[in-house]
Amino acid sequence: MRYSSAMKRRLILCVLITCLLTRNALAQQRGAAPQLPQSPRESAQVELIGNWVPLITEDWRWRMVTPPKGNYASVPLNDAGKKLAESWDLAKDEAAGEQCRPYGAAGIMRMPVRVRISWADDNTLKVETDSGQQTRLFNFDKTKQPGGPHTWQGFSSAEWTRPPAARGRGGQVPPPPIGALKVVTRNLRAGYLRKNGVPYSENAIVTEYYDRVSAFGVEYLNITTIVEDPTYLTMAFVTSTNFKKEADASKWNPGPCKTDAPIAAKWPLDQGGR
Amino acid sequence: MKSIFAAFLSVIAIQAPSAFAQADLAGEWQQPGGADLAVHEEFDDRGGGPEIGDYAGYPINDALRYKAESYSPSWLTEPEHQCIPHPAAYQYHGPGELTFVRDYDPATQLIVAYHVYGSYGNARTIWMDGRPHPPADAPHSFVGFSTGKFEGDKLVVETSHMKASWIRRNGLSISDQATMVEYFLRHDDTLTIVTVVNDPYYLTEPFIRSSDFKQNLRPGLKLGDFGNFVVGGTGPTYYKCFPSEETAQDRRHVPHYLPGHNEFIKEFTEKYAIPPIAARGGAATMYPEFMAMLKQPLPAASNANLDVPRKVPDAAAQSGIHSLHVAGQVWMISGAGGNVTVQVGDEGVLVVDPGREQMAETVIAEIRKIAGDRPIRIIVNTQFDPEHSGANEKVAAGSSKTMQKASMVSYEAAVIRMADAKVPVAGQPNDTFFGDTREMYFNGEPVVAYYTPAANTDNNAFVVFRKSDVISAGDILDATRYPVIHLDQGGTLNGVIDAINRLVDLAVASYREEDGTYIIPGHGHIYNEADVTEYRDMITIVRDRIQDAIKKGMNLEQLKAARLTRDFDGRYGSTQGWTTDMFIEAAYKSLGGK
Repeated sequence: MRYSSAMKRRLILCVLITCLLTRNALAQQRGAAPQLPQSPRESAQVELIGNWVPLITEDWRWRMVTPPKGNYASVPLNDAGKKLAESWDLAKDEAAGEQCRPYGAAGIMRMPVRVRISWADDNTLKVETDSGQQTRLFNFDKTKQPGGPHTWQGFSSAEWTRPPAARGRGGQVPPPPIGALKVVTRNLRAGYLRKNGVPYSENAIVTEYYDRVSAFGVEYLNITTIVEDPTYLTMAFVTSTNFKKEADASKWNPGPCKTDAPIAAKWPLDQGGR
Repeated sequence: MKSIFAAFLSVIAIQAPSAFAQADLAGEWQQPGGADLAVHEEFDDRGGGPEIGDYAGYPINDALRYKAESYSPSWLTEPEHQCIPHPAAYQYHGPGELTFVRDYDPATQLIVAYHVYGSYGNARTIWMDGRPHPPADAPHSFVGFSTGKFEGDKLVVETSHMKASWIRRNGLSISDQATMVEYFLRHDDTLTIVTVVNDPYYLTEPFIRSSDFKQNLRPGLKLGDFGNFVVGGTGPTYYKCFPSEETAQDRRHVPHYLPGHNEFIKEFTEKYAIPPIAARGGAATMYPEFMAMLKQPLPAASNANLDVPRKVPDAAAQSGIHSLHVAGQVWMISGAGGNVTVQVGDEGVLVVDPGREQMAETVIAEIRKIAGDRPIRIIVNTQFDPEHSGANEKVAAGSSKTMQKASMVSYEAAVIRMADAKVPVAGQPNDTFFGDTREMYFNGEPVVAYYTPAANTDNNAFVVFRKSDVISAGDILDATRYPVIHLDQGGTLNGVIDAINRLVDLAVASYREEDGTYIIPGHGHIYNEADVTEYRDMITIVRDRIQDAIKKGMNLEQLKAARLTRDFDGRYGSTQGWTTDMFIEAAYKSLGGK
């Protein structure tokens, strides 16, 4: 098929007009005024705000009750870590006022604690627990860096993760909120990965990913937690924990850090410390 | 024209909207502990297996608790269970490694599916091309039927058509009506698979758990490769898993514990000092507030207010009359009362159980959709039952007055029962058999009817299509309810069990209890050997319990009050039509109860 010069000009004109019209329409969708950079709160990639209850469907006898001393099954402790776990003394912790060791950032999301998530300000997400009454602050402000004394909850740097643009100028249109939250926590005070004194050191770094999932009409929060600790672990310790969204705070039951006495198992336990 | 093309390219480049690359799941994944297969969660489950009697944290109902307490690990020694893979609802919770493979349509070069291999499960396909799930009466499998779509970086997968199978390797199981939603979440080199299972019969809330994997850049051992695993260091051997005799038990024995006889149930609580109230599981044990209940005593056992679900409506029956290709030359029409089996070939059409009289025209119309103008030559009745044989006369007559009528085949006693019930002669089989079998070679394949003595009635038979590898079972096998036993027509519970065991013997699965011989039950979805075995196990366990109750001197009312079938009542029981009480009474009397 041959086109005359006039036909070609008309076609090119049509294409350019279509292009401009569509761009204008998109610009109107975005709002005509130039956009200011969005705050982390405004650009949230996953809605985490609300009350969440953990569903203890996994590792039940390591989470809902205090396991016997020395039971560090499935935690990849090195020899120093095992030695420390085997010397755990609950009474000594209590006497030293260190009851909150299992409630530190590396272990707290595995504890049977309810969680309330809210914005402390536009750059800081606040995560509170009822049992243990701990508060974690996830800082999106990259100018803030860890420093100062080590604490149970350490210093958490946060960022939204989302799928990168595949091609073209995808960045022109704000992506739908379909990503996750990544949190890296340092500056920790030494604590426990489990209630029964399975240790992590103040050198531990905790990386967490927060994802929303939903199924059968229930809203869930899944947190993948990766603990790296050159002092007591032979490799990164990876767990994932599931929470269910609650309609309100009616079951919020604040209380101090507390560890029950370990269960008196009668059987030689397979410690499986790898 | 080049300039026009260039202009279009410019438009595409400028306008390309929010197209975002999705997380790449393809590749190899291993347990967080790497090559030594160490797991960081659920040490018991993902290693040697959980303890019998440990149900803490599982939202199970009373029915499933009762079922799990009767579970014996020896169940796995039955030949039909030896090769069962880890089912989809458990697969990623077991030990092992995973391989994700993308599958593209060569024409469009769009992704069609992910295939997932490894982790002791069967190879699984997650369809990504938007296809619908199969109809409710399509066969089930251990991997189920899965469709997926990306929500940002998350792959969301919905799975239906799973077989009844375990969610924990200590007797906690789900029914074949369970469904599942999964999220595959990739973050850098970590993959978290979140699994949520819903089961109307055994779970009071959806059950969620998650498993973690690390990217494996140097894949080696995969536990799914059974051959390598089994022979240890001697090198790989071909291994497809063919079942064999593992014990000297009676071939028909189904290992299980009678109620109250499982001495191992208490072992877990004693061994780990876990309070019995926690070990028994239930949704409450998932929540933090349950810690306050740990010191409470176990509530006294009572059959009042048992948490046992009611039957959910049969989706297949509600979807109206429709047909489904089963295998080879065989089709199934459902929605006409009982299932109708249709074999189509050059010689014409063979119909097993044409259905209710009122549905005859609709069935004929459906046959025409499958077979076109091919004449209906043979009708086989698997028993006398108006739901299955009521349409005999009309379907045999065909669509033309000048056409030869179909011959009608059944066991002789079926005709006698029909005559007693005053069924018109034109609707009674005219080609009967007295012996064990009736052989027919039709449409190029052997078709054999097998008589099954004293099953639901004294006139049951099932039909085997040898080349198509399909069995039409009739009501010997009813996927929707407990077997209907007509005591007044010579039916017996043990006869039904014997008949089902013959189906188990004849059916052969193709690979690790998937596919192979398909069995069309009298009602409900298409079965294969694993499903028939599941039903056989259920009815055998129920028989053993009732027989034990009779031995203990229970009368019928006591038996009904004991609720000995509570674990199966949701799935197979009913308060309408053939009720649970009617079945219990028939079973009781059939086993000699007075």
